[in-house]
Amino acid sequence: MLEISKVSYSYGGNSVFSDVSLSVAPGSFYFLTGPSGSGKTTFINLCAGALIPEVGNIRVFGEETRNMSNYELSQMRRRLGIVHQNCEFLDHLSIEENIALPLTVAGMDNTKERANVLELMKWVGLDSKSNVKPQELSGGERQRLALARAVIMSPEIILADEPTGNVDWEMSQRLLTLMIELNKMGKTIFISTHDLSLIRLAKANVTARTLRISDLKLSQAGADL
Amino acid sequence: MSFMLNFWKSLLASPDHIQVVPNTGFTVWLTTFTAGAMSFVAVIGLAFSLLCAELSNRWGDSLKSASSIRLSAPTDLLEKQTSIALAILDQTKGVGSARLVGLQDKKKLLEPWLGFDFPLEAIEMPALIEIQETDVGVDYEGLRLRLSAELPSATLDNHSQWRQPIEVFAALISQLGMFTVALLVLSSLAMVSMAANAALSANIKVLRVLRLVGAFDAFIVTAFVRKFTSRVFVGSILGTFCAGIVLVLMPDFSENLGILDEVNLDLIDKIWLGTVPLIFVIISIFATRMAVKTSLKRLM
Ligand SMILES: Nc1ncnc2c1ncn2[C@@H]1O[C@H](COP(=O)(O)OP(=O)(O)OP(=O)(O)O)[C@@H](O)[C@H]1O
Ligand SMILES: [Mg+2]
Repeated sequence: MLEISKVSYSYGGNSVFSDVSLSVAPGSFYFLTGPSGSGKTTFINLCAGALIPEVGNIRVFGEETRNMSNYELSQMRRRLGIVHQNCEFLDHLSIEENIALPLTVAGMDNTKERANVLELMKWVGLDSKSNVKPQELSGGERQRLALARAVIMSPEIILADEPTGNVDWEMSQRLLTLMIELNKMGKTIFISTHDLSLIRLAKANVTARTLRISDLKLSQAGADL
Repeated sequence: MSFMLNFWKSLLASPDHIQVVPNTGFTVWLTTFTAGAMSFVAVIGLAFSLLCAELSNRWGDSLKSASSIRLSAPTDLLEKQTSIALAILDQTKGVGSARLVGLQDKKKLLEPWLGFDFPLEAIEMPALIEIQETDVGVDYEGLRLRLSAELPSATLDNHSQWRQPIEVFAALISQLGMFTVALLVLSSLAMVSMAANAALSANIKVLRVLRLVGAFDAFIVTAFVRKFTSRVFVGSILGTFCAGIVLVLMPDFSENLGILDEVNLDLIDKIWLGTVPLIFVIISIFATRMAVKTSLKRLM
């Protein structure tokens, strides 16, 4: 599903990864952790095809990101749900229109999918704010909005970069619960976080693996944390 | 070709109920106003250039088909020489009609200088034969040679020393007008490009978000092109309309001046003026496409 083999990446000589390999099976639940500046965002961007590895290659759904055209990258992104660390929306559109945006750009904006939008808004607890603009939302609400937009196309993989970055513990729990629900529906979940209690909580409910970035490498963290 | 077809199809058919490109207040008016002002100037420039072309044709035509022979001789010989000249002209190919200019006509010609009651018959005047050409045209060199052999007192004047400078001048003005219009179109292209780039850098986040949610580049390009081109089109239509009104009011002034009298734009010329908004739409599509594609490339 997601195949990373012998990948190295650096920003203008500043090495972030060297010779990293990982194979993500469908339906699995991963946490990615590491200190600030260790390369979590970089890793997510590599998986999303926004960055191309200098050495080695990354296969998403069996396709190498390096060889994808812009068109193929867009097609791939429709099967990926991406939640960025700093969520961005179209500020001139309402919450509802933002959630439906992936449908709109895919030309699938008909009544059947519209029903999904309403359901999703309820699911992330934003149904009372459907006509509000994104800049009027709190940090936690923005992250829920980003999650709703990421899953509207029912993607096979969800890549979330610090989805609980600026929310309190209670909201973190709610977001995690949403992720676990998605995983139980069969989605592959990949979450970067430095919140270890979140990982502990998750492990009490699902089988989740934890990866740690250190010294340019990716290592499997033990059960202890 | 099929690419263009698909492009137009997507331009007409893409979902319109959700505007993925925001209206960024100031640039909207700037774009619309610029397109309007440029269209106005383009239409006026084009109209003057076409009028000059028309004027040059008209002057050229009226002088082209006419020429004259002047005979200077003592009064007693004049009549005989005139009939010889008319006989020669009768045998010359391309001469439609040859007419001796009578005393009344001469009076009329000289009236502005001499006054209407000047006793013209009292002075010795050269005879003047006016020649109207047919479409075939007259071989003036041949005619001149023959006249110099048979009638040395005759002077042939085919107005070429008049006609040429006028024609050259009018053609020059007309070409200058066209050149100005071409420059204007190019600078409009540059201006629309700049406006599009400004709007894009204000909306770089929109590009990022659209990419993130899986929009194809073609969709993004179309969305921006639509937004922009509709503004340019509205501005251009307004500018062209205003210029049209100005042009409709023009002949009233020129009649009083007696200069552009009866020189009017014909239907073909008016159709040319009507294409100005179309040209601006094409410019806008082209410029916006380039700008969006460049921004998307930079985003990678
Ligand atoms: N666009 C960039 N240009 C140059 N260097 C960059 C760029 N983005 C990230 N880096 C560098 O790469 C390293 C990894 O950055 P990254 O954003 O992946 O870290 P992170 O683990 O996500 O950090 P955080 O937990 O703070 O979000 C950092 O040292 C950072 O300075
Ligand atoms: Mg990060």
